[in-house]
Amino acid sequence: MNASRHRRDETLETLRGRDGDAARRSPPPAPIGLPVARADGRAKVTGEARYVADLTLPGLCHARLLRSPYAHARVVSIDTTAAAAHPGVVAVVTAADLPDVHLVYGHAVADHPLIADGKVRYAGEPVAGVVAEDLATATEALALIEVTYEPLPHVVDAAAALAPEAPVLHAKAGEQRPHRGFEEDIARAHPNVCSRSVQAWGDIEEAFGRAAVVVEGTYRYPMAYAYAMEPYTAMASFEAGGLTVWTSAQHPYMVRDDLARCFGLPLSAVRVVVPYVGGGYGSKSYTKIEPLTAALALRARRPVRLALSVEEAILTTRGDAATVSVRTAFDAEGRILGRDARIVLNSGAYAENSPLVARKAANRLGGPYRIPALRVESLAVYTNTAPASSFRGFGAPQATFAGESQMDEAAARLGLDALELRRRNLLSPGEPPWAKARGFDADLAADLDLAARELGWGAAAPGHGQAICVSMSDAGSEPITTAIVRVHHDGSVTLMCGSTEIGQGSATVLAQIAAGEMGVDLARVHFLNSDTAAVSYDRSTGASRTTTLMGLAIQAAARDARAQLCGWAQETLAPDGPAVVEERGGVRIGDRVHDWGAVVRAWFGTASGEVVGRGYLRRSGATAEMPPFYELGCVGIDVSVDEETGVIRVDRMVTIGDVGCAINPRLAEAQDVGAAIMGLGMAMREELLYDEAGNLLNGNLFDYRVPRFSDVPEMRPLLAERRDGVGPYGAKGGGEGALNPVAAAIANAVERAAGIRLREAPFTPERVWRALRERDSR
Amino acid sequence: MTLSIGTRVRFAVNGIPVGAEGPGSRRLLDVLRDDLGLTGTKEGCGEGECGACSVLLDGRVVNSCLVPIDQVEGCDVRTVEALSEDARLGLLRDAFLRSGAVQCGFCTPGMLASAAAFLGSGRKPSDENVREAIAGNICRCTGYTKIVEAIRVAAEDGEALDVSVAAAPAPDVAGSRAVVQAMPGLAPQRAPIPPAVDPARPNVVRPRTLDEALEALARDAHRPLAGGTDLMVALEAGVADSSVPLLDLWSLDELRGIAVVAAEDASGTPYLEIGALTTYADLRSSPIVQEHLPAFGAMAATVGAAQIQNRGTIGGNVVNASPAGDTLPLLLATDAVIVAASVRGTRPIRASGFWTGYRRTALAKDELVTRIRVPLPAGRPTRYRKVGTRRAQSIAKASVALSWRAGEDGAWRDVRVALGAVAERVIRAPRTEGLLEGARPSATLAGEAARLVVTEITPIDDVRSTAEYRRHVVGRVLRRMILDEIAGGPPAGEGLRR
Repeated sequence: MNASRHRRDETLETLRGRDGDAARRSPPPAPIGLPVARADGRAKVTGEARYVADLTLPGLCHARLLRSPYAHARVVSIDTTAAAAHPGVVAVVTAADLPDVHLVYGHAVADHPLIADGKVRYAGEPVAGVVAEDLATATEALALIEVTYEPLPHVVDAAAALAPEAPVLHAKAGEQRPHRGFEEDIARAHPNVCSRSVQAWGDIEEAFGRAAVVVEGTYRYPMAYAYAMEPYTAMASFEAGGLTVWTSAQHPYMVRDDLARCFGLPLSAVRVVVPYVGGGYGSKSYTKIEPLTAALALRARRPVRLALSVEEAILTTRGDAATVSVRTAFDAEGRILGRDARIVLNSGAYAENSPLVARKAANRLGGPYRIPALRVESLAVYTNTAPASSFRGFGAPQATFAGESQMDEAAARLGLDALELRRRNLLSPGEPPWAKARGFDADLAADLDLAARELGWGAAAPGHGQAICVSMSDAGSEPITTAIVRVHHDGSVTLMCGSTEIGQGSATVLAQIAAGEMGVDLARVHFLNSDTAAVSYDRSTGASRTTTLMGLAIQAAARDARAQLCGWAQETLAPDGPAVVEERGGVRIGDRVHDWGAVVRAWFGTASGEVVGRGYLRRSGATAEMPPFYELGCVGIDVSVDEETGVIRVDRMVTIGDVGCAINPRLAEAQDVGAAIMGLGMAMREELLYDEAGNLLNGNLFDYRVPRFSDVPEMRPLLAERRDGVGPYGAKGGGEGALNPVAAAIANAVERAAGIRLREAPFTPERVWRALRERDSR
Repeated sequence: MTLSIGTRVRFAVNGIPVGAEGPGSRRLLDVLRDDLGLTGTKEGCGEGECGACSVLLDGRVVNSCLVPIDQVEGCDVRTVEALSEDARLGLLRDAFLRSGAVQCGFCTPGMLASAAAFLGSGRKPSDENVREAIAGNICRCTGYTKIVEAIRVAAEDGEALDVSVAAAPAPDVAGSRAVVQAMPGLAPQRAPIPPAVDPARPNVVRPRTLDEALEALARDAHRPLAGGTDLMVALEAGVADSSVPLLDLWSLDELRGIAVVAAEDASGTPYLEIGALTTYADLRSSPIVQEHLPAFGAMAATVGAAQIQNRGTIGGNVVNASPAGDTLPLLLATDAVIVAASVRGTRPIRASGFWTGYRRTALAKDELVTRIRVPLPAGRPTRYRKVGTRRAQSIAKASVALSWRAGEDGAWRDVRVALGAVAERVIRAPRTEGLLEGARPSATLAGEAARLVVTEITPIDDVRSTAEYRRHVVGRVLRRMILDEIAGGPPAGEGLRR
């Protein structure tokens, strides 16, 4: 063993023992709680791991898309004759070529045609697709397609889109699809309002009427791009009356449902397979290019691969930009009396998942605080820009930037320590943040203390500023999940889950849970996932839900398998007694121990057979209350500011991963570091910029700069494990929490370092420089 | 002399001799993935930014999306699939697994290539060195810290196990590597015969000598190709005319080399002669450059990351004539001479007259840049700074080169101030030079210079920053450079923090 690794593990153990009472409880069964190596690691370091673009099929064709140069236009005509006649071209497809396909999809609002149907609503929208024997031919044929557009007035800015005379993107509202959680959001005050969510309770006027201090401000969070390094890629094939699509998707079952609807197929005839996925961060949730790829394959009568470039991926899905106008009322002791806010999201040309982002932003703006009166209106607004959808954090980064900035602004006004102000308002464990919600499942005051200690709160070096910010997300999405645990006649286990491994480590963590629950060696558990024809249903891989909810389903399936095995053991091995006693990895009958494999062999009477354990999860029992759990963020930051150039230097970051029980502490820690650095990117630099004409100005990796090694500060990721979550052994989700408070923490720390208040992210050197100049002119 | 259509380019991949068909401008990445089925190497951005396609080319890390297959002739290519027989890579793999340096895995093969090149370089695995070695590889999952840790662990383990960290032996494609056993995954996935003529891919002419190159250029329109770091991106993006054949200069070793030469004129002032195909990596590692013109080495270190530094050339940068070209302010500030050659002969062009406008040069159509000559008068310090969104890995937002002759009285004479990315071409700042001329640097003078220089530049508003901010930054940088000289100075070429 290497010395540095020794140190690491000791640190981990010390902290786990030091914090909370987890160490006093009995440990979960191994390998649960151990930092075991990734199950998919070997394949990934040898190049054996195959992503969608690495797969092929006999007769595979390649597709390229023609995209609209206009932000908003009527498509008057498309002439594909020359392109179709080009040698090597297999098919040219436009909306007119798909009369047998249900063109419009969308899980929340069905408003998105899989290819432009008479109108384009953003620059970059696909208008036609070419399928050819090779990519070069497809590219060449694209230039032969003649499209006549009639440009329409367009709108790029969300506020402008809400003006009475603004151009309307969707003359007819898209069909509202059943989507539990925001049924009330369909009211459309303006035709460009895609959805409107309201979160309100208490008497807001009364609260502000008796406030000692009111802080008020408008905060802008950038239009960001998740940048999964693997761009969207899909491969589709119609055969044997069914459709198979290989795709880099987080929610294969949701994609399956949309495909079935588009092509009029029963769910059982649609197979969605997700191989290795090169990153997601929410950007690969829900349906993307799969219906279009399948439509191309349908017309080509051949298997088709559509592999987007990074530039095209940026035009496919981005994050919702937010303008959050908020005021918060405090009494003289610093207790929050009320918060009143309006959130306007620039959601782009199609709804995608923005209605849910708007709803979640409203829910999350209150933060983890006791707020007697709250009123938040949250709008997802259509604009002629690339569609926005899920993005790690899901409304929380946008809302937390505003809410946590205000906590520090208020602390300064009240003459209180910023952490003390937070302590006075934090929800207590068990306290629901709003009516009918699950009780708060964390002890954030303890997390704050831990972060303060690690950061050295109050002891910033000269010229430096510190801040600690927190966030709370109603996470987990719907608890609708199934799992299958099969125990074979040699005692090894196959775990079958619909959860997608996108790098977060679910293949490892879920196998650990199955191994611990079945009492078998981890090396004897094999994981099969993300193939809708081969494994059973999982609603989604997102909202940090997999460890908690799929973990519970696996526990249930393992319990079901063990119960069956105990019954079989009694029936076969001891029909006349004594009573079978379940032990780790098998049963004891009298003084004889039989492992699970022996029980299977005994019941089938030979070295054959298996037991199938089933686990179902729904809104019932432990997961009856919503949300299934709260995801917490607690981030401490130390910064300094170069006054000459406006460059902010982030020197240290402390993250507290309040995950209840880390099934795999190394992976949990890794999620927090990755999330924090992603948050750093958006706080410091990342922003998609549109010009007045509706063209994306920096839609490539060269101009849109994501963090690199040189941007990474000293990181201190800590885990808090108090076994207070609903998941296995008290687990609850992580992976977004460390991102959500980052922008606010930097803004607050910069305020302490340089005396400027930043309310518009990203905090580019130029913005900081302008703020410094304004400070000096005061 | 030329590679005709359909000619096989022969090289070795992971020790196995292979051939590739098709236009010579095909990307090495496509040959690896499509022809050879080596899909471990990933395509990310396709423009040399993300590093996912990194492989080892003769032991150096390169972006395989920017390497035309023509330039791989006779080379040794190593991909992630190889690495099982490579002890270094084995250590790296284990360290990546143990340290938790892998998440989605898409960056991992390229990351391993950069890490292997770094271990092979024999450089100390300090945090700073490791970070620099991997600066050309993006990872969006991990936040990088575990990757740095893994590389350091592998380096330590390598020392403990006494695994040689010497660079891989020079390739010998014709010879012995054919004995390496075949590996799984090498079988082509799909039909390996690409079209001989690809409308998106220009053909490549590969001259054997400079004279052949000049003859070709005199005869027909060709686009000279050096390291490909700009041209391959332009071709992929479809913004370069693919009907013009490329004139591949890469194998012309006569255009390489760095030497100090005495001037033939009466002054006898020595100059640094740099071959046009000299890469940024060559500049960085050259002891001659370190001794005579350290600002050049420091400048080279700010260009891209290892993948770009290993391919990008000074000649390419000069001819590309971008107002943000990294080498140009230094060449202006040192009054360098650019040597152009054609069938008509050679002529020196002073840097001050070389860049005539936005991406325009004084070169005639049939001329190639062969050498750069940088005068090395005694007692003439030269400094360079670049301000980008990062210290390196960024197109210059603004860059400043400053050069002067130090008088015995402490006054500066023959002052040259050259600026990049603040006008349609790289420029000098004559009024500021006049202010500094004959003066002894002081805080007051630094402030005056900062105020004056902003009146001499015409930066633009663009997606990165406004003209106003650029002006401010250029002034502050110049001021800081002068103040640093008064204080004894930081290392030349050190950019402002990040």
